[in-house]
Amino acid sequence: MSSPRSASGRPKLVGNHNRCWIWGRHVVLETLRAAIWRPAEVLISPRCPSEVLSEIRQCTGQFGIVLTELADSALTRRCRTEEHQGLAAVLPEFPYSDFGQLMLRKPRVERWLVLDGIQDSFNFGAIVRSAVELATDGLVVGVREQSAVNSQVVRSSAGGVNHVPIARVDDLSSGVARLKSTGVRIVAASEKASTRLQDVDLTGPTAIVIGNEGRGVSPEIWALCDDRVRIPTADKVGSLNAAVAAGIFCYERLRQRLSQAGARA
Amino acid sequence: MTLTLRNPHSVAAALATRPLDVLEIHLPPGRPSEGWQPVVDAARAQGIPLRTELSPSQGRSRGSKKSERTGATSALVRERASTALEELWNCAPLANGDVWLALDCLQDPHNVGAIFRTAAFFGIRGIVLTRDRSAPMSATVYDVAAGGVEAVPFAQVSNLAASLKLAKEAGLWLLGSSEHATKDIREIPHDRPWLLVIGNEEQGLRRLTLDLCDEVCRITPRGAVGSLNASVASGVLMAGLRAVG
Repeated sequence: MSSPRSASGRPKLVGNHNRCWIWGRHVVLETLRAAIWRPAEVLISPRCPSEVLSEIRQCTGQFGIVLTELADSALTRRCRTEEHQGLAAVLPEFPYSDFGQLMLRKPRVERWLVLDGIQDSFNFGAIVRSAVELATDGLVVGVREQSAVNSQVVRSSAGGVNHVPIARVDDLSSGVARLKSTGVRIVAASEKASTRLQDVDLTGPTAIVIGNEGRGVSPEIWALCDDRVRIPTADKVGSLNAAVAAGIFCYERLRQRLSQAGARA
Repeated sequence: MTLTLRNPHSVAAALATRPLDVLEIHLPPGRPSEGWQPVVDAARAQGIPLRTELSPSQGRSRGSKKSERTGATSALVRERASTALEELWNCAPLANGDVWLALDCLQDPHNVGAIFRTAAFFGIRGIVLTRDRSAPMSATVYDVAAGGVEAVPFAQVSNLAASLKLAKEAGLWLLGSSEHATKDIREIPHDRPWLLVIGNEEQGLRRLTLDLCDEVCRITPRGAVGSLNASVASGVLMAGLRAVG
């Protein structure tokens, strides 16, 4: 029962079986509509309502995606969950954005979020969701100790991976150096820092760096930072989760920009 | 009831605050990992039993399907006792700027754990949790909280609305969050003790809860997804109320 199913004849998938499937009407439809990450196959069972089916037919037809219609129980067996609501998809590797092109994009990408080794897929997904919600326009991740964009990330981002460009670079510190050379202010989140979050100016082009859950920001990137900033608190016990810290930083950047825009208006 | 905890940080916090409730630590053969080493040392100093069991599969044929996962360190810890509701605010005089939380039917133990961790970081005075249709205080909550459950007192209640009324009578002000609110969290004054109510992941705050709130605020909404993860949203709200200092 537990032997992995062969994926021969298909494009290279995200990873093992559990990581390449997405399911549920909302997530699958959103992925198809966004047309960024094209499934290798979409599977549909009679449980899926007919108006959804017609949209699915249209999308899969347009992009030449294999559409398989099968019985509800067969779909449950294949995607190994009963929560599929009659719709599931098999995904190839996530199409990361090209970092160089993202830097040249017009209008200019000014609000970056750099993830220096987020290992936990729940954290990664929650960060992507915050990035979308709190007006971050580009994410950069490395390869070392970094969770890939997998099925869990799609779910915990609430489909957010379809709404913000995510670039992956082999050498994250040289990527950060490139950002810095174009005038982007590099701001690291760290509990060891002395500058308070509300005292740093985040209104210009900035890249917020969130470090690994265990070791924090790596030394090479730490050295590149213009500001090292902590979230102030009176009676601190313990530390913040990386996703919560990222949310608080992105929120503060958005708040500063909105209040600046409000002051100008 | 006892819980099997697998995060060295959650066990370290239990050892530091209530060592008698740490019943034993299970270790794989060999040296403990870097994360567990200080916990094991502290447990040994306190005379807490350390057990090392040889993996059962060693005596069996390879590929035996029934073998349990071995090799992970864990600790058997008694649940932390919940606090009586009134004790959450009666144990010390109320001060302006103090913040309490109420979690209204949160379903996901990861969210509850992450909220406890954040609450410990921001010095939240206490947390009221609903008992029904809510994630129970499981080992996952303790482990995700990474010690936060030991740092923040909590009360579990069946009737949230009645509890919120009691909080108001005790002098706390109720703050809800809703995407329909007009005030941003940063506009909420820090001049009084607040009880911040966090709604369920799907539905948000219930009508009855919202009606009880003295003030409702929002986290400026922007993006395409429609909302933040519940633990991230709670973190942004707590930072808004507590991060000035």
